[in-house]
Amino acid sequence: MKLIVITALWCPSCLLMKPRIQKVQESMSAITFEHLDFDFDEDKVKALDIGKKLPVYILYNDEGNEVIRFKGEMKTDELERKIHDAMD
Amino acid sequence: MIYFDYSATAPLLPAVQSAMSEAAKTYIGNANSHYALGFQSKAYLDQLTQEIQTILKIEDHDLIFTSGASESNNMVVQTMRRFPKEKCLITTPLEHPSMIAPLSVLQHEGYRVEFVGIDRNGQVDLAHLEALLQTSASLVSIVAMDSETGCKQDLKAIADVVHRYPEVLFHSDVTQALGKMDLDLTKVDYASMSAHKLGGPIGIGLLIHRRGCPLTNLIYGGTSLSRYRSSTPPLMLIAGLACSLQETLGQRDNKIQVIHQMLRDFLSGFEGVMINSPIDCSPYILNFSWISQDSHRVQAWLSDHEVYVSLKSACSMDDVPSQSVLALTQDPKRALTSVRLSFSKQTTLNEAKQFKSIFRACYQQLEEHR
Repeated sequence: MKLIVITALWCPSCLLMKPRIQKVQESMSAITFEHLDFDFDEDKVKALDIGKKLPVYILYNDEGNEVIRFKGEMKTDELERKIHDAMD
Repeated sequence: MIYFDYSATAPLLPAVQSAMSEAAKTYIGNANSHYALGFQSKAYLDQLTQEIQTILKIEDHDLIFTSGASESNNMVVQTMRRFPKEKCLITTPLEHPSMIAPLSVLQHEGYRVEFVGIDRNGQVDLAHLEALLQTSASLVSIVAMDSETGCKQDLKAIADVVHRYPEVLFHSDVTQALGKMDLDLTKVDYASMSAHKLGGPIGIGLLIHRRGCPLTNLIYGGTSLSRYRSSTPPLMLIAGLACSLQETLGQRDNKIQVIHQMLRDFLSGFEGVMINSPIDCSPYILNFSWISQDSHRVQAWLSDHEVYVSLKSACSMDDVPSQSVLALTQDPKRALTSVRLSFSKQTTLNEAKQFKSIFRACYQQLEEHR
């Protein structure tokens, strides 16, 4: 499974979330994390049609199909729980 | 035309235009040149620097002329690379993108960045600030006035807390605050500003730097402008900067408070329109949300009727919620639909009355076609 995380350098919510995302990444080794920057990975981000809020998290299954996407600030355990729930 | 977007930029003041034109005509020599024309330019540069220090009431601080507050903010953040990564950089979610972005870069490199809590009035939580300082910090950076909502910080109270930790440096982005609230710049180690918010030219700003505090160059080269920031001194721009400060500082206008209150009361009367700027915010900024409408549509409608407003800080991405409104209201809907009116001494009561009439029409039309 893969989780794409889209953030931007200028985004305060992203600044807040990065340490939490890192913790989750370290604890969930079964998932591949791919980090995209809203500005510097413009082409890839545009293709994902992510709307108006950052950060964005998009989970894909092993077949490459999108399972779920969600957005914004949340506590570390909530982020972990959302990913676990989606995996189930 | 009704221009209510002075927080984005202020039109060049006539006096500034004259000062710049005069400087360009009179001082043609490079201030680095070792002959009469150069010496004249250098003397003028020294005179302008002295004038600005006097206006800002800062004797223990040096002035570093930069291209604007964005560069100044970046200089301060880059300076923090001197310190161990474990020492946190403390800031707020209300900061301008030119503060958040370089902090994000440092965070990516392993530096610890912490947000101090903001209460529902947009004020820094001083107890939380103290708790963060106790974990070991190198920098506290807090914007003096939020560009989107007009929330003012009590820099003196914040400085009192920070100064209990003498190794911690204190920076404030005063870009929106200068000329619009009482500021004691002696309380900070660094302050950033841009001239164009005060009716000066775009492309010049200041980093106010307390002597003895560390500073890392972004631009190395000759030291004529400053050893911390190389460049041929842009005398015309600096003249514009000095003049804009002279024209605007110390000339607070009660009319702005009247205009602000008039429009606050007026907008509050519309169903679905909510005021985001706290009661004690700067009168120069009024932020509201019209939650049943796409704010781009509101902005476009007003623009078609020659009323110019912003949805958020001009330097923010257009289709991203206002972080400042989100921090104040915790309401994503309000953050997505916010509109900012910002005023200056040039704003007139007549413009405010005209705005009311235009907005009534805007409300009627957009609500009818919702």
